[in-house]
Amino acid sequence: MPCEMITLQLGQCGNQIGFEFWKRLCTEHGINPEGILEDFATEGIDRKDVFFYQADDEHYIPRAVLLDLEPRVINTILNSPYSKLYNQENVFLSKNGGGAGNNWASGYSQGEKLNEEIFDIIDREADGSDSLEGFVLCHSIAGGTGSGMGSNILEKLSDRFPKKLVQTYSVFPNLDEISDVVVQPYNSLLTLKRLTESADSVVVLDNTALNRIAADRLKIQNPTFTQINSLVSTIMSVSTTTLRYPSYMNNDLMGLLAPLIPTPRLHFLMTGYTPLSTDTDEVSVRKTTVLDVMRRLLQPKNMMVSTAQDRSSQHCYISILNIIQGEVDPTQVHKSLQRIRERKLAQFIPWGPASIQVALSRKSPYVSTAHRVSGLMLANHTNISSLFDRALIQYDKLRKREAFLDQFKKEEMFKDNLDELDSSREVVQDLVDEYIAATKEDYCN
Amino acid sequence: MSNFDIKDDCNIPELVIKLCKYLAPKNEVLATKLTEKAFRWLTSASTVNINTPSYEPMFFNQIKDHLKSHSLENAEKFELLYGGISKSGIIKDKTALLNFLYNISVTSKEPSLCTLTNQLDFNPNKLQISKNNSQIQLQNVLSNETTSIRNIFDRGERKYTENSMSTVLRAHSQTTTISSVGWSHHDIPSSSKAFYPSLSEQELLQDVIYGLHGIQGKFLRREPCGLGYTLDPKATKSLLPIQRSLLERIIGLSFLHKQLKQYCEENEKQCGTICQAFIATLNNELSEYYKTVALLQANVNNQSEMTLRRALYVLQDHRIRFEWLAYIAEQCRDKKGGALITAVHGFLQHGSKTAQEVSEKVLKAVCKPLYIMLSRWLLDGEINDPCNEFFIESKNIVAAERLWHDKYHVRKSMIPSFINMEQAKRILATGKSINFLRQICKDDGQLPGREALFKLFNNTSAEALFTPEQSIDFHATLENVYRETSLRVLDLLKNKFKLYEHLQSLRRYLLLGQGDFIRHLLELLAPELNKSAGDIYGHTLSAILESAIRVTNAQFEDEDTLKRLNISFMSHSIGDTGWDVFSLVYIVDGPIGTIFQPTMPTYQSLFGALWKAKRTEYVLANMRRQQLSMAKLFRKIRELRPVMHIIHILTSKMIHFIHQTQYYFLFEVLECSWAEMQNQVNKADCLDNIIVAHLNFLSSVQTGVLLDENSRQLFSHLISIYNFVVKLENHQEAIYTAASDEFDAYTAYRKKAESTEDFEINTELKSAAKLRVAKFHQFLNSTKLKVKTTVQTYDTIVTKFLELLASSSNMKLQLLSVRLNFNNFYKIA
Repeated sequence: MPCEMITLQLGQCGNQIGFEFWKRLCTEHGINPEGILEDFATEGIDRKDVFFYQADDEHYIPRAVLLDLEPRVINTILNSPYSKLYNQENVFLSKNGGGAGNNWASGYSQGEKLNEEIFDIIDREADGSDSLEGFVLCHSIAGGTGSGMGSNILEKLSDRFPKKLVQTYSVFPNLDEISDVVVQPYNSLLTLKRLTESADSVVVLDNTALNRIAADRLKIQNPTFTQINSLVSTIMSVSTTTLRYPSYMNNDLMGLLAPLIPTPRLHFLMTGYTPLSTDTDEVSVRKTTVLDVMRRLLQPKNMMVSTAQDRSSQHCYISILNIIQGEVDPTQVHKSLQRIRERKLAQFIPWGPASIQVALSRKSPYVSTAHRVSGLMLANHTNISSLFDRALIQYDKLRKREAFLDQFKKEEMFKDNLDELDSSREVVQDLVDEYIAATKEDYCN
Repeated sequence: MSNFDIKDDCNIPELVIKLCKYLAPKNEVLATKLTEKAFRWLTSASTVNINTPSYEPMFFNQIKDHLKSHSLENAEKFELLYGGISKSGIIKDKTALLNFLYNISVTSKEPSLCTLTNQLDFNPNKLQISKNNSQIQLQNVLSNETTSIRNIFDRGERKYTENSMSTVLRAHSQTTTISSVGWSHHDIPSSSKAFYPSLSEQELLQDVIYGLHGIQGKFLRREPCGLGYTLDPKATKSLLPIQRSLLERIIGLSFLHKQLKQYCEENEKQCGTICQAFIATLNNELSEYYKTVALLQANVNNQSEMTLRRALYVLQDHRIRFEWLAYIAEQCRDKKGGALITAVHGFLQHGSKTAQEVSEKVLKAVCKPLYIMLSRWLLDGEINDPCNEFFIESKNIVAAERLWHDKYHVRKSMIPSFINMEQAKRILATGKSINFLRQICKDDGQLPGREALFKLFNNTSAEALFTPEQSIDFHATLENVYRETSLRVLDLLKNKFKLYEHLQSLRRYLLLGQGDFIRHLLELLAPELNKSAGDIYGHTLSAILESAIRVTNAQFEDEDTLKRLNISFMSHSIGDTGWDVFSLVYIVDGPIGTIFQPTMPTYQSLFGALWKAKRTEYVLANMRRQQLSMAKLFRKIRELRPVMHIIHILTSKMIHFIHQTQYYFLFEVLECSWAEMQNQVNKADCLDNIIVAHLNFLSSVQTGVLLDENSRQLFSHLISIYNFVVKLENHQEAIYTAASDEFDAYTAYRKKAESTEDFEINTELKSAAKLRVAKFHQFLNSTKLKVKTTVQTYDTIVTKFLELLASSSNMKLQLLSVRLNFNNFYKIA
């Protein structure tokens, strides 16, 4: 099967969201927790082979590599009903088991050391694919393993597989609460550099926004990881739905990303989702139209990224892809677009043609949802730079005080100097600048 | 007297004289005596009181007795004549008349009355009533002159003018003294022809009968160059005008007979059952006529009282019928089949009752063959129509797929006027469906609605076609059968022959709906199709198709569908690459071929257009992929950035263009047209509806993807935009190669430079590197310029394209323009 994707899940966060993601894919494709295809799921309307490979006639195994430097989360997974789902050879736990201590540098250097073992697994997976499309990396940018080892793997992937796409689902830290990880700004910045330079597409999962949504929209005070991760897994599964349910367009990741990412560095995508569960009441009353979904997706409250709402700025959409699932009338797509255009609901870049793409995707017939229609927006918006700006500001605050650098200096990379931090800052600043430039008409020159 | 005018009065004496003269032919003395007596009687006052109806039987009996005493035969004749007078009611004062006649006959010599009675044999119809209703002019057939008896009795008054009497007397010689006893009309001397009737009714009648048979007689001559007869002027010199007129009228019938007979003879050899039916009816009418003529002959032979007038009367009916038949025949000349029926049917609404009757009889006859043909067509779908009379024709077809389209047609000229086009089409469709089911679908099952139809044909006859009361029923049953048969066809196509599944398959494969398969096929085919068309082998492509099916979701497709999927090559000319000639095909045969086979060329062209767009999308995706990997690989070569940036932006524009075009193809064209077709197909109640729905779908898609006539210019613009993509791809490829070389050379240089301590070598290397870098920069600069120009031309051509779209009258194309310029980036006029 062409266009396979290999999923790499790193660290505590990466494995948790990865676990939720696989759970969801299994239900959608009618695969039970042991990897056996359910009797009712034998029709060939979906493409299981993008994310799974077939061990035998009805046994499906995720193309997933589970990596961590400490065993806690992976052990939970291996003790769950889904333990038999994964290829045990693809589960990699560092033997020292001490973790990265929320230190990017530690994670990075451990990754460097474990490089060979890890890439043995990845190479084997890659060899097992007919025509590998790319990698999906799940991690957080704030901790130690996901960010540090993730950064290392990102660099290595782009060296070893320069022609394969690398997409990441990167969890950005919650800025509303005081983190117990004091070096988080360093971790973030260093990871951001790799995300900018070595990844092809980054789906930003902003914990700040996710927590706010959980609290404000879902009315959950102190949401748990599982609750947040279920939101994340929804985003992950819907954003891959066009790859898994073939249709006229968007059948491979490249096709999906090409119109979203105009230049290689502007590849940070925000997401929006509707309906979020409290919408139930309004949704069930009347029939949801394409327009309803599209309009809601453009509302900031449904965005999964907390960006500063700066009205005066020139921030604008570079591109939008709406993936709509459920019972909508495909002949209504154009009318909805027209409305949005007339009402100027979305501001677009001035230096090139841009518009909202709408993909109507099939929904898994095996999953019943409360909502007949749901929509995911993948958007490339210049305002994402405010997230990086914030990261820079936090970094600068910390860096000015030269705080908490001891941990870093222990590691090889920072033994002699902190050049890496400076260069990362430079890269992230460049990125922010490029996003700002992209709001201007002369960006194309 | 007041009711009389002078002129009329003057005639009375004259008439009396004439009467008397007649009663005593060749006997002046007797005539004069009679006249005197008559006048005396008429002027005497004694008759006043007898003018009452009660005396009528008395006078009748007196006359009868008087006649009986001479001849029994005459008495009987008188009785008949009296009967005639009584019935006619024209003569008011029968009593007076009888009285007058009796008196004259009694006083004169006996035989006179015999003559009188003979001559009184008149046809009541021939009595002419002059403007005054009280006076009667009795015309009779007496020599060359006309004798009139004027009844001058009016309301019991009797008028007589003396002075006119003298005039009469003067006019006639009274010196004749020759008396003749016992004359009768049987022994009229032949020498006196000039004065007395010389041609007997018998002779004339015989001639008339000959004439009626179409044979020339003594007096009747065939018109030199016509069908009719004329009276021989020599032989009939002595005919009375009234006889002549009667003859001519009878002879008119002979003309009609001859005409009809000739028509029959002429058309007998003409084939065509309907025509034959018409001839048969005519023959039928003719034999009825012959029967009548035979009876007439019999009457004439046994010396009955048959006269020309009677003959005319007896033949009257035929005459009118013949007139209409001849008229109808004239209308039907050179017509056959349905056209003939239409001609006859026209008379059914005629005001004349006879015309209605005649035409109904004919129509019944001519409709019978049609009715049989119709029943065979509707029951078995068979046409047995060697003479092309039926309003449905069957033609030879080359392929089974064409049966529905080409084999059967409505023959417009042969549709009878009582069947309208709509009904004719239904009838066509019903029989066509039967053939379709039997021959194409190989369905031998019981056809629906047959029982009703059987019953209908058993219980009705040909007139059910045109009589309004019955035809409503008839057409209702037809309608029913049509609907049921059509539904049967639809049912078979939908369920047994998987119409929907085929439509889906065509959409999935020829209209690229199965995206994962198409994408993979593109990827696998690309290296092959980049070759020149002549270097490509069909089996290679077939193998590629197979493997594309195997690894994509196409593998789950129905076995039958996959078997139908194949590749094809269009004929190629020099310079064509594989892309120009490649096409996917879907083999349709059997019943569904009827719907799909004729549309295959359209599918090919649609596939071509969509495939081109898909290929462009694919090329752009690969370019973007390369760009992403170049950004990673050559991150260190900063000089690359400016040119690449321009390429990135241009690629973005192109990707935007191609994606939006594709989304437009998908939603505005395919989805909308598909939804419309589904709607129509679901509503369809016959195969034709489905065919039309499918054709509408295709033409709507054709218009949508700019393949229709009006979009030629747009399509060529679109193609040139696609070509820009290929152009840009070449630039990027060149840059990629140059950058790779530069990268490798740089890496090699660094290695060398690091490994050597030798200053001289180092300098040499450095200068070589400098030169190389300069060359590389130069290349980048020139490429940048080229790309910049490409951007400009690209923008111009897209703007032009958008302008064309925006100004298009097609709403959908305007929508495409909106889509492509959603954020108003292109400033269009």
